[in-house]
Amino acid sequence: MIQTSEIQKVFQENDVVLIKSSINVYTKSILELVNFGLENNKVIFYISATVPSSVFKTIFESTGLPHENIYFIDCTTYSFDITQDPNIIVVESPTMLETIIIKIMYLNKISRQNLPDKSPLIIVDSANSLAIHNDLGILSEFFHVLITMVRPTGSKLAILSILEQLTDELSHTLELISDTVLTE
Amino acid sequence: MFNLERCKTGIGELDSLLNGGIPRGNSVLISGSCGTGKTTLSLEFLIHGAENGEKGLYISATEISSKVIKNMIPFQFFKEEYFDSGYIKIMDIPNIYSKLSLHKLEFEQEDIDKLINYIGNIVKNGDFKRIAIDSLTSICYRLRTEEKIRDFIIKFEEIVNKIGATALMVSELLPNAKGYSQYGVEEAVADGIILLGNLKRRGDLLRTLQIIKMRGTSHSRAEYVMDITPLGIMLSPLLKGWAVNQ
Repeated sequence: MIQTSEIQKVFQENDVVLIKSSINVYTKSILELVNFGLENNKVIFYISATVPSSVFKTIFESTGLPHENIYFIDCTTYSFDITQDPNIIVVESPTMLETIIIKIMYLNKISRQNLPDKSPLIIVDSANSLAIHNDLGILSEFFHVLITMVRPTGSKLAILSILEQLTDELSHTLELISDTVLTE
Repeated sequence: MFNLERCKTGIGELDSLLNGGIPRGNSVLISGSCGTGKTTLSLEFLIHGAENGEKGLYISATEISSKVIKNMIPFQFFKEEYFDSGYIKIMDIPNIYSKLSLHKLEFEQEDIDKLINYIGNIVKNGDFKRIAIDSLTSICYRLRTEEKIRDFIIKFEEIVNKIGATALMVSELLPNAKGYSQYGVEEAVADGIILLGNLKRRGDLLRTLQIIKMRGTSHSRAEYVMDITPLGIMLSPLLKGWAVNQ
């Protein structure tokens, strides 16, 4: 399992980290990643394309992780708006990649207003799920735009992937766009 | 030519695409079919202007003023005081017609002059620096001929330019319409055209924005995806992976 200390070390030197995690410890890796963010004074933008945000909120609550500074962009529910929770923004479909980009820009502006001392950690969960819904060409374009957009803002980007489900093609694309790879 | 004073729309990404904003004095067509965000863009332009001390005039033909204001309340930049104080003035076109006794379905030249003079006086006396007509198309319904439409727009543009204001003129399009205006004349005469669209892609309906022309500045010509957020309009580059054959 990837430890918080390892995550801290790679993010000291890199902005975009691809995390390849085994399915057996996937949730634990996410908790370590979120823990790293919260311990390092970050506001977290969590793009959930695999599991609904409500599930993760429950997990974070049960593990005692403070989640006021975690904002979800939930594209798993195929709904326009399912919640009044101010920390959850719904994107109707994981194919609406530009909308996901805009929601990140929006959260970035909001957090600069409300939490000016915190820099964002953007977590994409997961590249595998986005690849189910999107062609590899548009997906790599999405990551390119996202990375170009986040670098000047001092944000960090963690791209999560499930090791056992990664195709060679997807793995190669993700490695190409990332600064470094952390494998469980 | 490219050093003209700019009128910032206040929509960050749009101002970047316009190389700093709309050249002051321009009258710009905001073209699009229903649901593309024309009214939101126009009102956001006026409200951001008011934030910077520029008075705004909104001439509404499609919605009554109370409804226009109500629809803007969810936005974080909305401030009712701008409307209450008259810093942004909303005028309903039917009221203007009634005040000027313009009851004909087709306006004559003298009616056009009467309307232009009335709007001109309001703009000058109120010292309005930002104007939005929503919509120009609805006024054009009463003008009917290309000559009258051309005459109205040119005279309106003269007023706007003379007082150093900047105007947005909403142009309603039918879905799948070719061109950027209903009568064709509007797009030729306007100083700029910002096209708002609906892009259907694999069942998703994305709002898009593209600057077609803008006199007095270099500008982007690429298509962007637009989203209306509580902070107002935001743009992202349109990803082309699926659209390479379009």
